[in-house]
Amino acid sequence: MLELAAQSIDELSRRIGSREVSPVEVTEAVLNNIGRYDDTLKAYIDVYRDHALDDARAAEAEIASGGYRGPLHGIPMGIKDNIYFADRVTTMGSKIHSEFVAGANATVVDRLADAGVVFLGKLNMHEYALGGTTDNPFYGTCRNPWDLDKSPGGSSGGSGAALASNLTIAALGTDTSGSIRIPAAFCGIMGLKPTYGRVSRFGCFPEAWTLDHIGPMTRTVRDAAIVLDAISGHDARDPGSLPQPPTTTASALRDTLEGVTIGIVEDFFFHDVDDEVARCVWEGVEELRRQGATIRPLCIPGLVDVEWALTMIDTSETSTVHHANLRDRPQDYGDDVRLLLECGELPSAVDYLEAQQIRRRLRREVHNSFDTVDVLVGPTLPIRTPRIGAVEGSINGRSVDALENLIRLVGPASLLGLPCLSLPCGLADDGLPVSMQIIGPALGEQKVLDVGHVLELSEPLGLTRASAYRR
Amino acid sequence: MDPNASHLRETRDIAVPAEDEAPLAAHWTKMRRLRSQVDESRLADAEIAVTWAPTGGQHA
Repeated sequence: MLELAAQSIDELSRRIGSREVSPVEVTEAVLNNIGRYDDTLKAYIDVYRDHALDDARAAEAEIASGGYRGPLHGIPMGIKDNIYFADRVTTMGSKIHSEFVAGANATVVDRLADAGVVFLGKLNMHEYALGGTTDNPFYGTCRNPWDLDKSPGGSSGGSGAALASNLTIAALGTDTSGSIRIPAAFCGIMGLKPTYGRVSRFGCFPEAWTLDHIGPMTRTVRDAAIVLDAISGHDARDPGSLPQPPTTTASALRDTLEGVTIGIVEDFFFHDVDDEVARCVWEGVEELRRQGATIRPLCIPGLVDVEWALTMIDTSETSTVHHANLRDRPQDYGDDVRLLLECGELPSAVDYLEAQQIRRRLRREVHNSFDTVDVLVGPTLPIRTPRIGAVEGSINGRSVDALENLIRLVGPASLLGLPCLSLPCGLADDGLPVSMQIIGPALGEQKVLDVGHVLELSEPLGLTRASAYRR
Repeated sequence: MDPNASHLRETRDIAVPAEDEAPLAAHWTKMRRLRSQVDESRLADAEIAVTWAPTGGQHA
């Protein structure tokens, strides 16, 4: 049996619910790992050690008295440090907000608290979620547990690294232009960006208002479904919140794909992709075919405009959020973030509105494609895992711009607010994980999770897990 | 004239350090290139709002 800190929510919930294992034991196991490995990994900005143990003891007592709340009761979770806890510092990974204290919990924190979660602390992130490396100048460089010289990705890199190294059982991340899916891919774990508006953004520092999502990062698909079910649902405090009840995906996960059609847009999602990445993803596609899915080629010509439209919208909205601070205290930003914010000051109102027109037109085009397929599948990222500090990535040994290629394939689901799951589908020849992304129609989280769950059953990574951090 | 570091200083009160001028210009050059590849017939649309309705259809 796996060590306690390596087990899934699903496994632990059965053992906690039956009182075979105490939440205190699980929390202590995870905290012990944090104590042993986080000085190297820098997955956390702040660890709530005493508070977590208090939460765990309270959960233990409640469960012992017959008050078991459900699968998340007593489960330790880390939360990305742009999601607010009342009366506790939330830094956004920044110097400027290094002492910021919110007056209220984020809605997702309240919902997880109601579910009985034990909060471990706040996870490291790229400053203001404005980057894809989690190389944070203020809180430390987060490292990839698979190879400590490699990047864990970002901006939710702390979440990804903590999951891959058993420094948490589950985590929350945020995703605007890939910040859940990128670290999920580089760290070999699951990352779900829900439909825009499915999960409340109240109490999460904005990156770009029309692109921001909060979502689960976990080690299994079922765990992602469990967390999604707990945090989703309408919230009047978020103006973008959909009038939808919470999802009920975990209890409805399928084990076969009979009747499911998977679309492949090869000229976009497989264009200029590293051969090892493509090999792993195609092997994953073949496994899905073996499990009953029909594979259907598709063409969506409008996808070529995603990069321009997404960049115009993301950078403009982000720079609006930060305009006053960029004007008044630019020296308090990291160099890469400051440059990104300056880029966002360039577009005109016409540029921004044209980008929104592209977005709307593309949404219709992609929506129509879901008349003939249930989901779209492709690589999450086109490049190999980059080294820490590198501005370039690698495609078949050729150097390419890392940031541009981190965003390229995750862009469509970001721009269109479609649900998207990134999950591991194999190991490259360097032993590092490769992931595929599964994109569904709006509100199609069940379809996305179903396909992911079936692929996961084939154990694409075998028994291989990150181990470099233990040496 | 393309927006650049001087433009940001003069119109947005943003003081762009010297080391950012070249990458800023390179970024905008790339954005102009991508924009030039957009089929302008796709911009003929009166709406800009993008939200999802409960049935998954569009909702202005």
